[in-house]
Amino acid sequence: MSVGTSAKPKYKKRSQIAMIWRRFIKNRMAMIGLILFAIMLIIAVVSPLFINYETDVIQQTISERFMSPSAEHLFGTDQFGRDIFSRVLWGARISMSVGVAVVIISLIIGSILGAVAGFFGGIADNIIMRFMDILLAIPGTMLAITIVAALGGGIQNLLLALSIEQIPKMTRIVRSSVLTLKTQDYIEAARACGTTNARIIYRHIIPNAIGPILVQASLTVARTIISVASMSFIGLGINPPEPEWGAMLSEAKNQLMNYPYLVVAPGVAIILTVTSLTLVGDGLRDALDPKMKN
Amino acid sequence: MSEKLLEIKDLSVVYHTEDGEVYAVNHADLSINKGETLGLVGETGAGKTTTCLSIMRLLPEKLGEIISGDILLNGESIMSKSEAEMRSIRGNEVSMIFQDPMTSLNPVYTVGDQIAEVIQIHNPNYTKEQVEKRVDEMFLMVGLPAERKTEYPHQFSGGMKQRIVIAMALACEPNLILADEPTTALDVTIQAQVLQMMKDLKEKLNTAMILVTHDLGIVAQTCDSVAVMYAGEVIENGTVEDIFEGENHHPYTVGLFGSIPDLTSKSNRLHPIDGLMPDPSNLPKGCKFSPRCPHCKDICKEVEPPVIKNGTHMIRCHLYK
Repeated sequence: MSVGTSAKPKYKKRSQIAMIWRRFIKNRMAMIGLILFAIMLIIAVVSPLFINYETDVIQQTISERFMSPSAEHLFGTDQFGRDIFSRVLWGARISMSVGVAVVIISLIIGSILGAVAGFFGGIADNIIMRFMDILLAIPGTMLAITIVAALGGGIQNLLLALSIEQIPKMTRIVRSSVLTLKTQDYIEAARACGTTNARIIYRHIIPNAIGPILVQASLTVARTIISVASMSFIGLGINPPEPEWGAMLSEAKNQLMNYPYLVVAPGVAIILTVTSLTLVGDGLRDALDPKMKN
Repeated sequence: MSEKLLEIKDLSVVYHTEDGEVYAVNHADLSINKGETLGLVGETGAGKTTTCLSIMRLLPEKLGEIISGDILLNGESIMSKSEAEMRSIRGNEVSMIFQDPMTSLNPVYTVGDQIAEVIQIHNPNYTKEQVEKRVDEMFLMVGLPAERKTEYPHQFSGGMKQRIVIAMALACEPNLILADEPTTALDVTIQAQVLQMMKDLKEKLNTAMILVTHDLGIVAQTCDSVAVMYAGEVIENGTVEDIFEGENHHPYTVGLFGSIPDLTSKSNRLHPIDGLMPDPSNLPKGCKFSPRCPHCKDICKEVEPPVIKNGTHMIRCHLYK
């Protein structure tokens, strides 16, 4: 039985990813979230092209203090005469990069720990998961505050603190996926083909667990952006004069009675970013759910 | 006489479960010659799959344990092999075809990739072109167009998936295939196709096969010899002629044949064997079949039945002493 070369039949080739994408774009809210997030990301990437960090973002101009929104200063200026529009745009760079960095760190470490715990079980599982339970028992913000207080401020320690906060959640998600996946027949079949454990994990288990991992990753970015903002708000995150959204809110809160417009731009920026990511996460969850096939 | 490929001697496997020890296989003896097909027959829970997994040394970790016996592959004991040595045997020397083709393919890779993986694992020095060429050959061998290798498992029907699983099992030309009810999940017409194909390929590649099945019809069609298992024991073993046409049989084998629906006779009811399989964690003393046996004598309940050999035909029963 072979197919003639003259009349090659065209098979419909549709990969899993294409199907998931088709389901994702049908979800209007998810698409709004994705477009919003894409715009934010583009702004974060291209903002250095038209904003000068030295002159637009951190240079203080006392003569231009507390200017109301106008054509020149779209969102007005703050108590040091800095253009809020430029600062908010620049702030996207900080929030996005911290959010993505934390996700990458917690994703890598959490996936390895979760996969090892779930796949091998027994003692390895017990040690890893009890340690994660300890971390989970401490409220995330408290943990982050403690770490930053102990090690000092600065972006590196903040990254460390927020990653430690997120790793246990990622580990649990990966572990539970691995637990259900490792009893699948194709894992047994792979083993019967002489596949090594390491290869089974990275080639057969992780790719099948990618759905919940992706959902968790997108929600983690959202959560991290809020965490960064709240840490900065209480003065333990990104230090002034960096235009971090939480730090901007913190500075603006003293002037809230007289100049309420100061909090609008950074506040809205946080809400938009986090909402867009949450919508993307929810959309991904629905799109990856095989029961949603239509 | 042809060479012995696999010899199982006095194999006993125990599963350590929370509810106690489960004696899945008890002192089983089997052997298979190069290029032959052995049918392994018995009802659910008789230890057929456990026997296959023992040959691959793939019993569930910490749960299943081989407590006695030896398995010789090409005259070498696999019990003393390291895990790395076992890995090079799995898929290369001995490969396994699982029951349900729907779930034994990884849904996130194309079927071509999955066949290629087996080839790469066992032939690490193959170039990409060589691997691809071999994948195409395998597709042709199992009667599928090679163009479809870039598709995913969900785009194939059950019979096609089983062909792909067979292609994976045969990709490294193993000496022995363990087919664990390869056609149970398929409908009857596809069953016949897949079985015929397996039989042809087996002859072409001179591969030996252990065919685990419930279906005595399949055994008669495809096997050279048959082993009947009951409660973890091989209770009757012989060539197809011995089992299907021989005079003496173990009462359980007689019962098995009796419970096959017959198209020609006029009886309205089937004749099942009375009773249920004994609980493998609490096996009866003496002959395991004694509580259900119509010919049960006092001795059966006390003493383990002896092995009675008549040429190639082996029966474990007090009846023929």
